Amino acid sequence: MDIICNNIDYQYNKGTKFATYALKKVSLTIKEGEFFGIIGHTGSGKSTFIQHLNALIPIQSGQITIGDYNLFFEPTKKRESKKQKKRMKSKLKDLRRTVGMVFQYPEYQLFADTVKEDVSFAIKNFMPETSEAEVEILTKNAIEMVGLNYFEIKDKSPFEISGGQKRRVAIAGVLAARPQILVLDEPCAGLDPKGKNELWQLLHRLHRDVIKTIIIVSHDMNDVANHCTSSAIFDHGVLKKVGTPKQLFSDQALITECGLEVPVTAYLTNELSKNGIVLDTDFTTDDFCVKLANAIKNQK
Amino acid sequence: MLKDAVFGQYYPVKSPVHRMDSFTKIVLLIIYIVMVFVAKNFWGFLAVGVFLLVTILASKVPFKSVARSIKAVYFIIAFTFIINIFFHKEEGAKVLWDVWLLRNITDKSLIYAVFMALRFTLLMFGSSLLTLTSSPVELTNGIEVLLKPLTIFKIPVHILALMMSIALRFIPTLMEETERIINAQKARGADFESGNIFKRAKALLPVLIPLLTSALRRAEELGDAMDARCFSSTTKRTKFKKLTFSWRDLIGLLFTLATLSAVILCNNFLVAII
Repeated sequence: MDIICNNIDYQYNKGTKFATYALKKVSLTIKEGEFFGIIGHTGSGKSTFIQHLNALIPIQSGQITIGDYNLFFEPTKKRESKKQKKRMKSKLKDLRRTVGMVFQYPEYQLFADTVKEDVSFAIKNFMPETSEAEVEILTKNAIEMVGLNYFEIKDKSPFEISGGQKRRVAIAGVLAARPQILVLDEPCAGLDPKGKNELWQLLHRLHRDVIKTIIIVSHDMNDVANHCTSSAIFDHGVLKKVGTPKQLFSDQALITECGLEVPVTAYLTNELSKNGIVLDTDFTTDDFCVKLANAIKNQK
Repeated sequence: MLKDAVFGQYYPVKSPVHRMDSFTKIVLLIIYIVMVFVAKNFWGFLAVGVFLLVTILASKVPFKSVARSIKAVYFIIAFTFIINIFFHKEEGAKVLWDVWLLRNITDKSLIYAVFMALRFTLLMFGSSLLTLTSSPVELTNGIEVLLKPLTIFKIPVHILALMMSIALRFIPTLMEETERIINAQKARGADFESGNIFKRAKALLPVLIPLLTSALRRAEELGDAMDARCFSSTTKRTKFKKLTFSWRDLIGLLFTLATLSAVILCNNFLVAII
């Protein structure tokens, strides 16, 4: 299921004196199977953009196609028939089920008495006809998917578990509805290096086994270089460039212009080339190390 | 959106009214409210209306923003209008209609009801103009000065003012937080719009609980931050921005008092035309 965005515009406070552009003519295609990174500094429009993907923000102009779903600007009609409204609503629910969204600091949205109840919230909303037994199976699957022990954690309160566990539970709460596309806004914010590493492993495992497309919003270029297959750079609501990390980070001037820093590997590659060592690396840490080692060997 | 629901949002432009001292503005608003209730006839209301119009023009706030304040209370206005039109009794009133549902409607009750609705509208416009032209911080400063006399009765006015400014400061933050939590739960398929009132109230739980925990967390953090800066409520504090009475305030005061006397004059010496 590809995501095709065409000419998306978005203004905050549209029609008033305080109107500001959050997105300007954004056209972007994200293919199925990608581990896609969206990068940009704070206020570059990346969060606004991802909220378009499951219609949390209604489109002002332009069009988004996700599989069978077509999103475009619809002027709100005052007199819509009840049937029409109902159909719209169920379509919206289908879309939101297909595109799972994990917000920044998702642990702040936990609310239920037990972990089990919180994770099953999405299942009960999206599939109200599911039987209790099936809900339990789906919940168990989701909790195990994020690497937690179901029987140990299911009856605990989501407010008494550790920070890293909370985040996993919150992600499980989105995974429970079995989305095909998963969008995560700064999933590593506020985690320690160990938690961060574990989360990346988890995301790669999900990408391999259950989720077709993963979209990550980040401003840590090292993460993007190491994990994404393709990325897009936003700056002040404008989509500056789309490409593989290798293509993006070779253009150091563009990255700096957008108020970002290139990953350490790209910085080192650049410095080395000034000293006569030219590496052809894709800027992942592993590849960089291998290429550098080879270069050193060759020089000897 | 949610942000629009906040009563009388500050409208940031530069104007003489914005630069007036907030304490003076509050006092003038009180005089204005008195004026609205003192006005008894058409000419009195005309004077108040002209006063309001001049103030709005001077404040550079678009009329649309001022008029939006009425959205919150139009039901109350309609309600008082209808109640008054049916139940207001006065000597020597002439019955206009007396058919079916429209009973007891007299010329006097009609006028009275119109005046009552006018009063509410003018009241809302005037008070929203205060909040539109003074930022929450200025307002709290003004209220603090206004309540100063209460310190004689050992009421800790400065602490009340601090509480108020903290509360006001956190309204937009919590609004943003609410919007984010609502979006997060919507992404998990929560539906806040369908079902009967009980179902809807229950659907709000997944929003209210995280909101409450985050509010408590913020309160704790703020308390720690204040402790870290050695805040103490018992020591005497100085002000960063002192309120001063300037020529703008004097003009405002004179203008208000002039209108008040005009309204009283209209009440007592002019024969009502309608």
